[in-house]
Amino acid sequence: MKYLNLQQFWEQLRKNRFFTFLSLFGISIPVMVIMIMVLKVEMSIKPSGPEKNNDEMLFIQQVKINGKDGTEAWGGVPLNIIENHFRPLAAPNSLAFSSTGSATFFKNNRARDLSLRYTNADFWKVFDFRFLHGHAFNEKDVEEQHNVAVVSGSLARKLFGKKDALGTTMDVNGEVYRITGVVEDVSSLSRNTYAQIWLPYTRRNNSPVNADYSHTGAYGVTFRSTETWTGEQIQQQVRQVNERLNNLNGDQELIFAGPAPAAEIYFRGYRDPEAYGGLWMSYLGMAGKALLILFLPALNLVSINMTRIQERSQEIAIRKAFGATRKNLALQVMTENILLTFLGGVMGLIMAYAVATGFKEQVFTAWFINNPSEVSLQLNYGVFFILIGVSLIFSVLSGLIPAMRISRLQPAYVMKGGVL
Amino acid sequence: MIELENISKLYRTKTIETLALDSINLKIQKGEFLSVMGPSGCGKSTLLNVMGLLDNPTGGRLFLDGTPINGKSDKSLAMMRNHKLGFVFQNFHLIPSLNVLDNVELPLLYRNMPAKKRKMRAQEVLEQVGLKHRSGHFPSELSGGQCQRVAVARAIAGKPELLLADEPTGNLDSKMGEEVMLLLRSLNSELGTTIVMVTHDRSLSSQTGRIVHLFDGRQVN
Ligand SMILES: Nc1ncnc2c1ncn2[C@@H]1O[C@H](COP(=O)(O)OP(=O)(O)OP(=O)(O)O)[C@@H](O)[C@H]1O
Ligand SMILES: [Mg+2]
Repeated sequence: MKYLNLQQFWEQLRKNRFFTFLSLFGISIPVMVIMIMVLKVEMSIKPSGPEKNNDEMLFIQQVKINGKDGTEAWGGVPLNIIENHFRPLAAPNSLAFSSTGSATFFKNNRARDLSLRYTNADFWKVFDFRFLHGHAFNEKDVEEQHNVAVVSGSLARKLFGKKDALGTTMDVNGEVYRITGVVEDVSSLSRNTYAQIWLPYTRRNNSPVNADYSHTGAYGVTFRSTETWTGEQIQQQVRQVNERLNNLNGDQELIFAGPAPAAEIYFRGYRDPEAYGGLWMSYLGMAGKALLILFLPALNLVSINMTRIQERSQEIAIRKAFGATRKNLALQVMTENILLTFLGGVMGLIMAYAVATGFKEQVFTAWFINNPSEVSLQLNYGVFFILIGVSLIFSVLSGLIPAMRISRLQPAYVMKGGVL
Repeated sequence: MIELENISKLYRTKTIETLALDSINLKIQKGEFLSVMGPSGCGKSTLLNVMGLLDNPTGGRLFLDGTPINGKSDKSLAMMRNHKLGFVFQNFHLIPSLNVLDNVELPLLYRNMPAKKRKMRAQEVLEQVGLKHRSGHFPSELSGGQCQRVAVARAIAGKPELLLADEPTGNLDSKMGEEVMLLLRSLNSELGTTIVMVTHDRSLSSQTGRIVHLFDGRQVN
C-alpha cells in the first residue's frame, strides 16, 4: 500500500482528464451491465420483505406431467395433491401455498389491473409479512370461505387515502371483501408472496379435490423447515409422495420441480429437474458471461494503461534508480489500477441502481415477474462482495500486462529520454 | 569503495556500433571526491550509469565494496542502489507529480522504514539544503537551483556512501552552481561521502581531490 501515493494518484487523474474519463467510462459501463445482472439475480433469490428467510424454505412452483404419448405439460401444483398429500406431512405452520390471479378495479372511471394472490392461512405464518394495520385472515376465515382480504399499503392509500382501511370493504371481481389487514408493499421480485390483494384460497374457483393426479394445477407450494422437520426430511418425504402418486397414475409420469431452494428455482426456470446442471453451473455460467462482458473493455484499458505507463517511463526509471525493485514498481502500478477500477466499479454500481430504478419495466423482465414497476430495489451486502470481485478481476486483467512491461525497464536508457 | 576492471560498454544500434567505454580501469577509495572530465560524447554519463548500476557494461568487472556486481539479481541490485548509492542528474530528474517532500523521501520509501520516520528524515535533509519551507511544493513551482538542491537532498536522504553526480551544475548559473558545489563539498568533508562528479567546468573540478579525463571512451592522463 505504501507504494500508492494518493496525492499523486489524484494529481494524475486530474491532469490527464481525457484518459481518466476514458478509463472510468470503460470500467463503469461493463461493471454496470454486470451489476444489473447481479442485482436482478440477487434480489430474486434473496429478496427482502416476506421472503427474507427463504434460506429456511423449499419451493415447488411447477409440476410436469409426461404423458405416455410423449406430451409434456407444465403447470402449478394441483390442489388435490396439496390437500391429500402435502398437508398430512407438514409440521404445523410450515406449509404455505398460493395461487395468483388478477382483478380489475375501477376508480374514477379508469380500469386498473390488480395482482391477486389466493393463499392458505399458514401462508401468513410461513412468510414474514410486516403488518401496518390489522392482521391476516385465519384458518376459520379460509375454511368458511369468508370474504376477507389483506391489501398492500400502497393499494390501501390509493383506495382509501388517509382513511383507515380496516373494516372497510372493496369490490374484487364482483364480490365484496372486508379488509382485515394492511401489509407493507411487497416487491414483485418476491415471486412467492407478491400481490396487491391477498384472499383466502377457498374464494378461488378451484376444481374439486379428487383422486385424479394426472393434471397440473394452479398453486405454488412453500415448505418452511423447522428443527424437527428439516429440509432433507421435506425433500425425502415429498419424493415418496411423488412415487406414490406415480404408482396411482399408472401410465402418466408426474414430476415435481422441487422442493428446491429459491436460487435453484430461479436459475432452473422451466427446465426439467434432471436437465438442470445444478447451482454451481448457473453461477459458473454467470461468471462466464461476466468475463465475456469484461474482456474487451479490459483489453481497452490495457492499451490505455500502456500509454500511461509509457508517459511515466521517466518516473519509473527514477524510482528504480533510487532502489525500487521490479516488484515494488509492479505493485505500485497494480494498486493504482485497482484503485482506479474500484472508482469505476462504484460508479458502475451507482449507474446500475440508477438504471434499474429508472427503467424497471425494461430491466426486470423475466418469466415470473408480472409487474416490473412494483419491484422495490434493495441493497444487499452480497452485491458489494461481487462488486469487489468484479473490480479485482477487471484490474488484474487490465493491469498485469502494463505491470509486467515495467520489468523490461533500463533506467539509463529511459533517463536519457527513451521510453519503456 | 568502487572498482572498475576493464569495463567496456558497446552500444549497438541497427546502423552503427559505438564503443562508449573502452577498457576502463578505475579504483575509487572511500571518502574520495573525484571528478570526470572530457569532451561531449566521450562516455562520461555512460561511465557514471555503469557505476550507478543503472546500465550493464558489455565487458569487464565491477566491484562495489569488494563484492562483484556481475550477474546480480534485480532485487539485490535495487538493494545496493537503495542503500549505497545516491544520484544527482544534470536535468534534476525530480518526479513532477510528487511534491518536494515525497521526492526527497523516495529512497527511504523502498526501505523498511515507518512513514513517520521517513517524513522526519526527509524534512531533515531538506533543512540541510535550505528548502524546508518548500516541502509541500511541486517541482514545477521551484527554480532550477532549488530543484537541484531538492535533488541533492533526495540523493543524500538515504545516507549513501557513494554519490554519483552527472553535471549537477550543468543547468544552473554560476552562482547557483557554486551553491550546489558547496553542498557537495561539505557532504564529502563532513560526512565522508564518496563523490564522483561529471563536469565540464574546470573551476569546479579543481575543487575536487582527483580528476579523471576521458576521451573517446578511454581514460587519458
Ligand atoms: N542508448 C544509446 N544508444 C547508442 N549510443 C549511445 C546511447 N547512449 C549513448 N550513446 C553513445 O555513447 C557515447 C557516450 O555517450 P555519453 O552519454 O556517455 O556521453 P557524455 O560524455 O556523457 O556526453 P555529454 O558530455 O554530452 O553528456 C556517445 O557517442 C553516444 O552517442
Ligand atoms: Mg552526459
